[in-house]
Amino acid sequence: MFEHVHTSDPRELRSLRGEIRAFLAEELARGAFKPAPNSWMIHDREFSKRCAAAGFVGMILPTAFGGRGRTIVERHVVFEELLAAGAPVAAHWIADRQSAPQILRHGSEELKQRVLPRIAAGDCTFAIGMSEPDVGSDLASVKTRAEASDGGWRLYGTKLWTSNAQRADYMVALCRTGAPEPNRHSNLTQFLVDLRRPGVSVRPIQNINGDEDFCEVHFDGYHVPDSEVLGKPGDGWALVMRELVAERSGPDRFLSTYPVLARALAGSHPVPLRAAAEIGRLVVNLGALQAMSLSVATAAQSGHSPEIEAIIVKDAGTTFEQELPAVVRKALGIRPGRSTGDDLRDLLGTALLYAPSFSLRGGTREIIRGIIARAVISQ
Amino acid sequence: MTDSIALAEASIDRLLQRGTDRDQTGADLLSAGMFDVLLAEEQAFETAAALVKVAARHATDLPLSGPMMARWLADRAGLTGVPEVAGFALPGNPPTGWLERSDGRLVTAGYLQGVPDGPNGLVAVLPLDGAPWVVFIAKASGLGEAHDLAGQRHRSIVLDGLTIADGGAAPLPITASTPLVVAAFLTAAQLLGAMETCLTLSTRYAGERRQFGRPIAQFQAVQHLCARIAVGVATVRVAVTHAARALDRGGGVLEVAIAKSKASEIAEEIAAVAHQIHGAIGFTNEYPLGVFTRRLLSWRDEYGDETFWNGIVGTAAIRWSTQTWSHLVDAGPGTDDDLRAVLDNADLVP
Repeated sequence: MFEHVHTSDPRELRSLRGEIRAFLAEELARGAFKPAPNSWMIHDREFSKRCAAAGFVGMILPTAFGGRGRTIVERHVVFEELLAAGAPVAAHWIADRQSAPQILRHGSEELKQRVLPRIAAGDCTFAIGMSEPDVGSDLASVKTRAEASDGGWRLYGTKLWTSNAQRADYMVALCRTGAPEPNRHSNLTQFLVDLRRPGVSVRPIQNINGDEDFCEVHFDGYHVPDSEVLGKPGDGWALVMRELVAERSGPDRFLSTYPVLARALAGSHPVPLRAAAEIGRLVVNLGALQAMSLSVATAAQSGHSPEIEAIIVKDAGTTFEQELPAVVRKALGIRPGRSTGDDLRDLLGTALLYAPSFSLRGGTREIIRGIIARAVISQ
Repeated sequence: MTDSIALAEASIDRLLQRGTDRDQTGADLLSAGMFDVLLAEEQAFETAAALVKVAARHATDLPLSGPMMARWLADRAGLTGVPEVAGFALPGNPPTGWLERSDGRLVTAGYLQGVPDGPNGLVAVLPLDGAPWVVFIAKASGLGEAHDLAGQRHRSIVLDGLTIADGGAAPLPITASTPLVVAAFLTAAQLLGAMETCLTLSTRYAGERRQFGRPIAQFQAVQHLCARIAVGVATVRVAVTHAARALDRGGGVLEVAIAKSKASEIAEEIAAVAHQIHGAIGFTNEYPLGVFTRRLLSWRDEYGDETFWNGIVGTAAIRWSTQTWSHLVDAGPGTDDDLRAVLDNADLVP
């Protein structure tokens, strides 16, 4: 892994960073958002629409579908800046990161025409339809099933831990469309689900931070026309694996708690001199991860498929974003809280309560390490 | 990686695989120009890192990074009379050794610690009235010697009253902190090479060693240990490459700080995990793992350990305050200037 390290010259990315920072500074100045940890789970459709109007959504979609024709690296840089600022990007994040590329690659022409321009306009929220009540890490065992009927398919079953489903327009759902033969990866299919149509119901679930950001989604005969099937029926496993690569390698896998460090460095609580090395270690780790993650994006842009590299970034990145609030708490000697009126204490509290989710979502640490191990042991 | 760097890697790899006679291999490295790579106009640092990395993969005891530093600094400062293969030393901060003027000549004073052992004298960076100079010290008497964890011999040498030959000293023509930054960079590349061998040995052993009727690589607990080494190697590999390319663009202080900090920190984890995978055999001198883990545990402390470099970055970040993110990702000239200012005032024991 990383035998050939792809690097982007940071000097060439400065002007784009300047543009997105100017947009964010303006939003901050007029109080449109408050920097928060885990901000890619914070839903604000109006923010997403303004972000899109400024050219920062759908950047790598073809211009024919409202995209901007930018590069993978340019989009990556914008993702980094949005998360480093703690901006509320959930309304467009999943759609932009993984659903739009799936639809572009595997959707019908009609579907592309209908959905992609809305995604590029920041006015279309997607949910991820993978996990189920009895299906977490072992994704091939999904039980939600689709049965062929009336020029399409009918869906039965339940998806779980579906982030922002109650606010989303669509979900890409992985369903079983036949027996698990010749192997358990056979006969799975991805469907586009319009969460506003009949046959689907959504129940929000409160997390330990008190937020309702994930849901249970129940299908009771929801009808999918053939034009809303992604790829060929039965090919869903290959599709979902590709989708997971997009889900695992981005800046959202190491920047979730950066706003805590940014706030700690902003000076409201002085950093004791003896803590300089501990804080420095966080900055060093951030720099190392940013380089790795950008390297994956640069490799992808050069036509490579850096799957193991992406997974390595997720493993190292989630470890970092989990330890960041713990280190800040110890180094600065402050007590995390909720609605204390002290920004840093509140940010720390939120970050600490969200931290357990980082190494669960998008593949648990154990699953991720198993994949990495198999890659290096077989070499 | 460009072709020329791949070729350099392949070429030193061949030399070290073939080399059974230590003196002959040293002569081969010299005639192949391996000590001169930092003088190249393009990709000097990336090539140098590739060479010391491959040398460390082989655990050669031939010095490479020291002579590279000596050649480079002697050439940049325009020294004359320096042998083709010399040692290299820094006096720490505050410096334990320095230059003085005496009767119109330059003489050294103080002492140097942790000087690598070598017959040909050494190039050191010593202050003269507070300004750094590059100095060739042909011969000095030893105060004593010590061995590091890797088994490599170091000396402490007395500098008092050594007269420097004509052409043997000149002002350092580059920023004062650069020799430390480059030496730390090469050490990080060495650590990477030793880590790569630890990964190779560990995954191979896990695939071959059988217990309970199957290779231990089939146990999830062992797989996760292998994954930890792989993630560590990947992290250092990216950090060192980034540092190399940043140095080759004329910057690189931030990237080197990151690379050396991560390499030093991860050295400990990889050494421990590789031993855990190997069980008792890895703990013996009959098996090669210890050669590499002892180098990891030794080199991580050279030219600033992880706490030193974290402290440099942390001190700068506290000054950068809300601008820390942009300093980190934009890597502008101001970023390195700020780090150099912190470095110039940081205590460092060699």
